[in-house]
Amino acid sequence: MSQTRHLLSALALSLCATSPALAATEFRGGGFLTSFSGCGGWGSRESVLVRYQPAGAPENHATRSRVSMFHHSGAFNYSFDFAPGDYPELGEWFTVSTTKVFGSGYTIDGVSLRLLESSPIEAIAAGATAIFLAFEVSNFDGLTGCTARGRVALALD
Amino acid sequence: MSNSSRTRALIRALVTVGALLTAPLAQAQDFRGGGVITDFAGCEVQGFRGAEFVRARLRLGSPEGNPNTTLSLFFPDGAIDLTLPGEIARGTAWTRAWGTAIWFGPGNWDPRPRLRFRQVTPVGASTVAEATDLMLRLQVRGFNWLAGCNVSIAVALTRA
Repeated sequence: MSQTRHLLSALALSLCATSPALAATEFRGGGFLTSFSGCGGWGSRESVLVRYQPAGAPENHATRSRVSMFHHSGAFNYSFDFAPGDYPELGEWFTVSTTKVFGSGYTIDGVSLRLLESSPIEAIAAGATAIFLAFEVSNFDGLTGCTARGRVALALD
Repeated sequence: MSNSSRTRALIRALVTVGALLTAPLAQAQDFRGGGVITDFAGCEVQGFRGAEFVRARLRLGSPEGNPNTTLSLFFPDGAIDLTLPGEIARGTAWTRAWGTAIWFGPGNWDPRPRLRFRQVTPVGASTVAEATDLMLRLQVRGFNWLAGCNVSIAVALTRA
């Protein structure tokens, strides 16, 4: 019996030690979304908090990047698959998988992003631990024709 | 109506128009957004570590009004105000500022913090006063009452 308890304790410790949430390479920060156009009830600007797990970074997925954006009353998660070296050019639109949690959680189709001004991949590869990102989003919140732009400041957690 | 009455009425009208024209400019010196506090050094006793993400507001100082610039940072469980004399500019010299926080209760930081801006990037115009967006990086010594606690802050803001 004692051996079983020790075994279970050891297993629990090993699970804690290998928790993906603890091991991921993650950038955290915040910024804003603004210039909403054709977006129904979305207003002039939104302050947001952001978590970003870039693909290919230590302990992260090899090709899938994840971005979570927390608004005051809900959140979006955007994810996209690109092998390192195969990322879209700056200004080039790319489709993202989107999940929304505002009261209830569900997926949204048709959302696209594009990065402007600078590439986080190049900055991170060069060793940057703090970065600024400028971006635009199309069909924001699944609203066809809705566009917005944003800017965030992030640092390695 | 006498000539003097007409003159007074004209002056009142001009003052009113002037106030209406300048009010939006004064109001427009507020920015909102968010960012991150990072590079915590000497802050272990307070439990800060890694990257603390924050929402943010910035009110620019102006020679015509309040000369102080205030950056407010909002945590899920607290808020911080950093106020410095004058306008913001990139530099290497440290400026003595004022720090205020609300955690369990309100308080002014003692000792006062010092800070310097390492990046001031206006977007949409060449000056901070006319920018649509701001990207700022600053360093703070004496963060949150701790004389030996140093941090870096990066924020992305847009005009409110």
